[in-house]
Amino acid sequence: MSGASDERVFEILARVSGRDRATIKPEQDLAADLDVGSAQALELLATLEEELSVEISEVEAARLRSVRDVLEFVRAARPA
Amino acid sequence: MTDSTTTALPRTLGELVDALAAGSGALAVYDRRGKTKVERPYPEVARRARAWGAWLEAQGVRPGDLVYLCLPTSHELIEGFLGASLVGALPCCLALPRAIGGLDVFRRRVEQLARFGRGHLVTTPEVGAELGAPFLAPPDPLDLERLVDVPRLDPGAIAYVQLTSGSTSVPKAVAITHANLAANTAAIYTRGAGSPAETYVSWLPLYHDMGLVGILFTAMFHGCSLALMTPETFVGTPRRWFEAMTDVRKDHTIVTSAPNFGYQWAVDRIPAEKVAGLDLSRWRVACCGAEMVRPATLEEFAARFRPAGFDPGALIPCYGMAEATLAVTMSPAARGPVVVDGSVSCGPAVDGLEVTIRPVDGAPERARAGLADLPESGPGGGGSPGEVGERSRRTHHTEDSDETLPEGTEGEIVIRGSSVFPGYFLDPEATAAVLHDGLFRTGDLGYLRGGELHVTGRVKDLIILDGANVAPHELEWLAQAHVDLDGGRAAAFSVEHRRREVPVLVVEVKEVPPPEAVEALRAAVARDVAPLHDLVFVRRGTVPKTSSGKVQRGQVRARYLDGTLEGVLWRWAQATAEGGEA
Repeated sequence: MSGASDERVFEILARVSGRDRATIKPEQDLAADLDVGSAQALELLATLEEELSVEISEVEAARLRSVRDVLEFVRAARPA
Repeated sequence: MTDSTTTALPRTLGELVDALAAGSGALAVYDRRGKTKVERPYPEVARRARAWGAWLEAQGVRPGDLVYLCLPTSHELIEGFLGASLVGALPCCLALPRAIGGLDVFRRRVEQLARFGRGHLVTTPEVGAELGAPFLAPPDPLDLERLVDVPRLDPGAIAYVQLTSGSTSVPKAVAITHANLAANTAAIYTRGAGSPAETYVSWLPLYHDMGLVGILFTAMFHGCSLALMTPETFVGTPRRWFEAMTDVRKDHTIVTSAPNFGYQWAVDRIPAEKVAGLDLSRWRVACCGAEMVRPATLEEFAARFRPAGFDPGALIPCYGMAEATLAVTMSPAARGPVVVDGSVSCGPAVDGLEVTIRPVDGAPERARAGLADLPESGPGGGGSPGEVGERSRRTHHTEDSDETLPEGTEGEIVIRGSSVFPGYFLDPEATAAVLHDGLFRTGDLGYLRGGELHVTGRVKDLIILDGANVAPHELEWLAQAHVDLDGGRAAAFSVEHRRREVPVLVVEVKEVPPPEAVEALRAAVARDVAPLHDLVFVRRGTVPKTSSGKVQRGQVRARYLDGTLEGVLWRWAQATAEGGEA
């Protein structure tokens, strides 16, 4: 059901982290596994907001730690 | 001077609110996407500040209380800040959880504030609820019928408190007086050759002194307009900063400030083909400070944005810190960066401040002994590998703290004057360690050349190789030049090996660079500085940094020595530490 939004999230993660899309897995940690530093984290949030038309609040942003967190957040945020 | 219409500059935040009430400028704040802005004329900002004062008073805020404002860059943050000062409280901007490494760090930070006495936290309902501590949510709507009177404030009194993220986890609270603020904003404006027909366009956070003083108050104290966006907007979509400049009314020129990071980020993220359509021809002042200014960044930036009309003469390298309110030195307006021997001049001291270079005390015994063995200056200091003697300026190490060093000699940067802070808030011990008779020891290293300051590093980070000093960034910039860091950072430091200090470089990378690049880096370091003792590539994001993103070299060194560096991808320890490469 959420395949399309998942795919967009993987694409964005690949672009921001500079990695191959195929190597990105839901269980990976953004900072530890994908080396998303503080500037890249802000870039990721802005890119998600911009390209997927979602709004990510301060506290929600602070809770996004893994690829799965991002996938689930975007799925929940997308209008049904 | 001549008559009452020649308005004097405000001397306090109270007088600032009066000046805004009669002023013609405006404060615009962009939404989080950086696309639409809400603009309020200054008289409205002044009125709302007074309404905030009344509201804060009604919430129990009393003179002398701290008012911590933890809000995104917004009208509320600025009006709340001014409102707090109108009721005699001390405003203090706090970074949002996202900016300081998450909710746990934020909770600890808020707990630490208890030591500053009675305080009130103003934050969003969302952040406040998460915190589990008492907080005030901004009034919505703000009652514009209940206004506090603008009080006559004492210029010598503390106006606000600025937290600085040092290398330790407990921030220091810098107290700044109204007189400090008035003096420094006037000095910044004067050196930048400012005029009221200007708009300051900025994404700098207001919890940082460069954003608060260099942008917000320098503009407001002089009746200039403001267009602000959040740091997230710029970092996420750097082009928004330039679009906002393009959007400034055509009869205004543009003033900005940013750390070196901002200019580099713009170059890295905005390709040449995306520069088209921007109009940067009215960009008159582009200050660059708050961290070491890298000459290559300024060159790349100027080249990239020249097609949009950017004038490289607008770049003003500067040097400052919260303890000086903000600016200590600034390169003159319209001159452009001046680079001497690979080091950017940060210009002469601004009005009201005096900069001297003093001997570094407490330097390691070995360093002093090493220096005594070597000629005072001149190339090829005895036994130094490569060109160290030629490249490095000798640092003077002595216990005589009254001595000032002559031009060209590196030492600790010491300042005094009208914008030097009166002390750390409620921390006489920390104050006494750095402030004596109005002289503030910055802990930074530098030298004067032609009366202009060149900053070379931190006293505590200094690498001393065979009695000659090397600033860590010299090695770190070589790493940046030879391997693809892609936003990663490097840390250089020295360790003791066979009774000598030897350099080590830890570099964050996405993947281990190809052997040719590694070899080129090693060769460059050996040629320009000294043979590396060790080179370690670690995964991006694993080098410890402060909340403002500065690499904590001491921490990296400690972990290297303990063998607890995280994310190690590749390590090369030189087989023959001495002489092998020379």
